[in-house]
Amino acid sequence: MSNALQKNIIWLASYPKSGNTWFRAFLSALLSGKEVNINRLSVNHSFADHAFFNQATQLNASELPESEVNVLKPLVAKYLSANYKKKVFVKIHEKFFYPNKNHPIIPIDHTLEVIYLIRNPLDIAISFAHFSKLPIDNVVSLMNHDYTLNKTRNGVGTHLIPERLGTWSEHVNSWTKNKEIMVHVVRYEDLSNSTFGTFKKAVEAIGLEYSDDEISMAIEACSFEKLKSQEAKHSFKEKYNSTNFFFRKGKAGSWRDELNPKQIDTIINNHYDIMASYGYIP
Amino acid sequence: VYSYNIYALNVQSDIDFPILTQCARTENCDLKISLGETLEKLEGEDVLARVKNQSSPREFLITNPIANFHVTNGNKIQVEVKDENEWAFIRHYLLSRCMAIVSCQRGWLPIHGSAIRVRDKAVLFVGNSGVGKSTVASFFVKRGYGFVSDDICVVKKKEEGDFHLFPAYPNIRLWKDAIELVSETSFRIGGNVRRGIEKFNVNHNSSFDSSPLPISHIYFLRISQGKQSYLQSIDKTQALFNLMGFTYSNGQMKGIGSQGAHFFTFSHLLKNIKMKTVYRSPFEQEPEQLISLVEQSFLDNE
Repeated sequence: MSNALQKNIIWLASYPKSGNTWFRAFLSALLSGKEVNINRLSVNHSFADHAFFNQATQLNASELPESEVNVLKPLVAKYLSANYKKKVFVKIHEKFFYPNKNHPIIPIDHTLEVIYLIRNPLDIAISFAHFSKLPIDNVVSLMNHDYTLNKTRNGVGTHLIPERLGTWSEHVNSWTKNKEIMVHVVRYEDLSNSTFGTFKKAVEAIGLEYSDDEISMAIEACSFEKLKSQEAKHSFKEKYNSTNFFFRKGKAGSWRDELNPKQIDTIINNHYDIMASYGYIP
Repeated sequence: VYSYNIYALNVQSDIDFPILTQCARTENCDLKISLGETLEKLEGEDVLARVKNQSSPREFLITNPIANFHVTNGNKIQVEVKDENEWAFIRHYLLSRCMAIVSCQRGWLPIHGSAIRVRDKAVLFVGNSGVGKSTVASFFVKRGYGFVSDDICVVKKKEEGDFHLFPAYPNIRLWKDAIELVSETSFRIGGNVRRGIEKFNVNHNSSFDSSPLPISHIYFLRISQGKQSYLQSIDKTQALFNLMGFTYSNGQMKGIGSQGAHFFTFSHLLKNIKMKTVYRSPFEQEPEQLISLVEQSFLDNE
């Protein structure tokens, strides 16, 4: 099959721990009309999928320098696009950047839409710390550095290739202020507080046609309690191996109980402008 | 011209492979590795295009800033070198991916795994990249078992007889942290598989034997999400699913060689070989515990 030009990729972009999995669970329920199995989500393509990269390039990503992997990533996405006749959803944690001067990290020509999920960085710090088992201070620091996810090779579990996040502010700006692509921004807090309306707007932005009843059923099928209960029974393949639970609290605002004043000040000082524009300054 | 024996193939090569031992040159050449200009593109209706590589049932071409590799009919590899500083990668790619493609083109079954010799039979450790196949095999070599193959385990029928595993060459590739984990002073550590990549060639010449072996066990390695490693039985359906997932013929090399040729090989493996899943915990303080668990399993012929 040739890498024919078609705009069919819908990117589900986010900084880690910003509601990407919840959104993919929702889409999986909506598209299938069934209950979701968290370990078999139908919306399961990841930009960082090591095995798919290897298959597409006939190279082993772990044996290539990061710069070469980054140049090949948009070509791998083109290959994915060409192999799907319909819309294809791809989860991406990477910031939007240019690995070389001519080509961005995602293929614009094959991009139909970007759903960008944003969450209060104060809550991300808590969730990321639990997810990665890093001390909160370290997470607060990495959110202000050009951090690369999945970079450490510790001999096991390298099923994901590295994704360059940038700082949290840089990540948000790189996607939401991008003039080259259509971006629909979804606030995690709105998904929590105005669940139906927020999901419905996102569904419309993607160009999917589903009734209010179907959207409500999909929301019910991927409720936080159901996802958490499934993880307790069957575990969740996408969690870091060191994590106790991927689905932890799922609440907005838990930073108030878990961050100390210094950590709060650091995050606000580092990311004030973006936080202010999304209503995250306490 | 350099002569080698790999997977029981007489290989004549313009390129020398310092990690391999040369053998006497024979008139019969099964595989020729040549240096020279390659095509830039394959033509034909049955050509499948991926990312800077293409394949048809009899041809494979990958174009790369380092080198182009053109593999045809399971008996010829043409290499166009573009970056003379990357010989380590060129050699590594030839001995790994290109040999898997040669196997597919010949209708053999290349399984993504590492193998050791136990009582004149082969025991395979199969799984995704990074799951620890080579590391586990190295632990067993440290315990005195013979080394058979790394990365690609080629299964094919002997001229007179049943399906066997054909050993590759006495070299295993280990990440630096895996070398430290196995911690065996007798291992001979060679060069990097690529400049700047902390993965090294490790020679296992002293425990290697090139004789084909019947296979007794296949262990599918997965990462455990718990704190302990354990073994789990699998039914035939799951075993078939696993085998298909971890062979280069399926997915990894879709469109390369004959897919139908593997049906009988799969049937044989499912009928005659014991298979289990090994869940490896990344937290296990002593990997030797896992190694003992697996050792007990194949010694008891479970």
